[in-house]
Amino acid sequence: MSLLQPAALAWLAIMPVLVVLWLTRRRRPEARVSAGFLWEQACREARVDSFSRRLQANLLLLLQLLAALTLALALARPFLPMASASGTELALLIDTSASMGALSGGSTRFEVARAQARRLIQEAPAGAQILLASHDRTARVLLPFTRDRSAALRTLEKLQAREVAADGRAGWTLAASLLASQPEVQVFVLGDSPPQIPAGSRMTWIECGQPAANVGLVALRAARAADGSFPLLVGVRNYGTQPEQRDLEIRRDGVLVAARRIGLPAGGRETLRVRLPASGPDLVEARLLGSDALATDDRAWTVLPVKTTLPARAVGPRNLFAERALAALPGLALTRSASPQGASLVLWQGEAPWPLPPGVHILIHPPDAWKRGEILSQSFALQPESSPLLHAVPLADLAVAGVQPVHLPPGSQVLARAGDHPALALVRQGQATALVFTFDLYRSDLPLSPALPLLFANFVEAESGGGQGPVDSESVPGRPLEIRTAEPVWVQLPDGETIRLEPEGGRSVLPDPGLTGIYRVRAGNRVWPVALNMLDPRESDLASARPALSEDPPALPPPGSSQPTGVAEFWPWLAVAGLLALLAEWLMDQRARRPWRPRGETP
Amino acid sequence: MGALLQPEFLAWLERLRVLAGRTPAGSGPGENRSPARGRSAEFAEHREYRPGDDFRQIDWRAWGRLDRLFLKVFLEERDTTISILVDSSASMGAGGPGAPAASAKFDQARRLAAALAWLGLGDLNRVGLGLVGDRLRHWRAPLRGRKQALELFGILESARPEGKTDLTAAMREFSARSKRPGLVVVISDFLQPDGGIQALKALRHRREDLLVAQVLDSSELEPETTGDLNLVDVETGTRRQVTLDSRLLQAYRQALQTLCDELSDWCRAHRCARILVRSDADLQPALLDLLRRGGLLR
Repeated sequence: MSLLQPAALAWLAIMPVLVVLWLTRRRRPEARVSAGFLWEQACREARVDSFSRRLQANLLLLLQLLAALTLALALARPFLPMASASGTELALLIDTSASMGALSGGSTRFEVARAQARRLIQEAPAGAQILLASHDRTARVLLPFTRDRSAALRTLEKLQAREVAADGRAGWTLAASLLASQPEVQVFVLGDSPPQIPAGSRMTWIECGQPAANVGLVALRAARAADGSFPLLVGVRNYGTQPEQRDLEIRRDGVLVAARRIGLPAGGRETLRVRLPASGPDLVEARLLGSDALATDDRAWTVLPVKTTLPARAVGPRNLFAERALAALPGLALTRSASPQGASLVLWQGEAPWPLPPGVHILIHPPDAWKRGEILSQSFALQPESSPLLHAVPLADLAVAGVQPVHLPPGSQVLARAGDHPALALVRQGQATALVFTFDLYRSDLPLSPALPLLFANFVEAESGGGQGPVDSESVPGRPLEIRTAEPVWVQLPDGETIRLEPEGGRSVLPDPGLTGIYRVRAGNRVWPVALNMLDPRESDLASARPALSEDPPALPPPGSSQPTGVAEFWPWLAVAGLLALLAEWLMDQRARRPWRPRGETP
Repeated sequence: MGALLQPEFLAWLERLRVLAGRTPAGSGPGENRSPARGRSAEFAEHREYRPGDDFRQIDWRAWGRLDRLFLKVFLEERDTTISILVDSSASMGAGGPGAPAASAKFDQARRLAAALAWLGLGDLNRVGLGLVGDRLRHWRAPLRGRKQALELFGILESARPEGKTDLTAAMREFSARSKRPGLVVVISDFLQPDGGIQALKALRHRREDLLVAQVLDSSELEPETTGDLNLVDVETGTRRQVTLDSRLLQAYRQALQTLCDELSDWCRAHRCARILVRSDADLQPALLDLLRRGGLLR
């Protein structure tokens, strides 16, 4: 047995006070009697000195102490841990991220979670309040605390897994909030990502689904070459432990334009380059044929970019990796020059000036003013941070060396770390923005992977306005889709449903797109396609242990029980017992004050 | 006198005639019949003449008819000595738990004693009055005549209940000071461990005729007070902390009942009249009951 409010035990201090008051209560009134010997004899007959009689004489005190004890215990809210969910408040937090759509046995992980949630609802104790919530990129309360089980079951049946990558912090934050605001709640997290549950927390993780092999697309990027053709970059990865062979189709507006057979070793990755002709539809789909555990990552879409030309200068000693990656970007005209004059983008391959002139810059080496200490000789694994610039950029498994420790200026954003040192950073200073590398590109895996051109593409698109029209041509499910126009907008979803959005403040927002595919945004007579892809290795990797729900969890409230199980509080019974003791004490006191009426004859 | 007996009560007493039916003869003539044979007008019996008898008492008519000499024997009317002993110990000034401070028990005993004295003096009897406690505290030798009542009433009015009770010692002292047997009326609560039986035995040993009036308060007979009390014995000063509840009260009532039953049984066995007088009861029925049980009501 444990206590939810142990501080309330301080009320037990009233017990010695009661004893003292009892001992020092008003002196017994004297009564002069004519025959003390008769009373003495009566006392012997009635055995008033026996233990039971003395106990009876102090029964009022005992009842008072009993009432004080039980009421103090009731205020302390004792409870017994239960082996199953029997708390009075249950919060079911169900993972609806894309990985929950993976097949596990004959059903999906989400169906397993739904069945577990259904069982919890049906087995909840009578009168229990149930809250239903889901989480993927965001967390949503679907049904506030209610005792209506049928409503909870109806809400549960309507819930579906989405094609959205999870953000563990969202679910964790909701769980922490529930635990903090509802001291009696028992939170059950149903999903495939284990939360980091502190010992003694009132949170229980129910694992749904088993590890499975999966092959998925990890990248799909199109660029426009100088000749107008579209070099297409397709990344495929085998997350399983066995070699896989899959067929890849490239379709342009539904028409097959290319097909490849890809052999992937266990855990292997393959990057394909397909060049599409300049003419033709601008919607491209990459599709992995065959079936595996997760279908969401077997398809990806992209919108071919329109023709733009961005003048860029490469300044300083030549870095072939950087120049080639940058030159591969469509719509970008890279030339070598000793001066950055007239360029929208400057690639500083040698020593960069500081402060930077206005514009967009890529610094292969950090300025001398930032350097702190000698260059580190050891190798590090890149640790990418969360940033839109790293969307679909596979940095996670890359190694770097020759890291220069730096002290970044204020306002900088670290995009990736090498150990404790910034390895890749976005620096904003006045009207200048720079993507800065602090490691030696020649001593890293980065130039050998598609990560470098993808990183440059993201950076150029984000900083140079690479997108065309009122809406970005690519996004991810779960991220609000912003359409920058004052006109009313119709959005046709991949499943064919059309939604009308009313502009507000010169823009319209589709708040929570949950499907992958092509969204067609129409304003007036113009239509802009937007490709939403779920190309997140954390969702596609179904074989290895899932990452924790949150790597940096917020603090949870103090634990309320020693086991992450349900609890059975019984303070109401104690309160009733205490009140009954008080009532009995009052009745006995009143009875003692009432004159006694003889029933028999007197002599 | 007015404090003890109201005029209406005195008028009622005047209508009563009391005589001592079995009482031994007094020393002087009175209005009560005596077992002694004497010169009253009431014929008792004939007996055969023996030499030395008074010739004046020979029934000559019987001699003429039977030719034998018989004497006419007449009852002699003599006065009776009535001794009224009133318990004036402290217990007579107290009651049970919850009793009022001023005891009605002693007042009732005094009124009863005054009424008996008034009746006794009115029949030309000799009435003595004693106050008893742990000894014979006061003794007024028997008086005769109504006008002596005031002295007896004064003794009663000045009496206060105090001290311990030892009826046995008091009765022995009374026996030593009383010159001849008569009618002894004992008025007490008889609340002592032996129920006063030893004291009555001492009187009975002198062949006294006994009337026993046990005066008890309602708070002693039917105590109603409950709760925590510190009981103080008014005579011994001993204290006892008790919690009065129905069980203890029942045990007390049982003990009192046993004490009263023992006294009643003893009186019945020795042909003594015994009545129980409640302190708050009307005195007239109690007095009539006492006189009737004692065979004293004419």
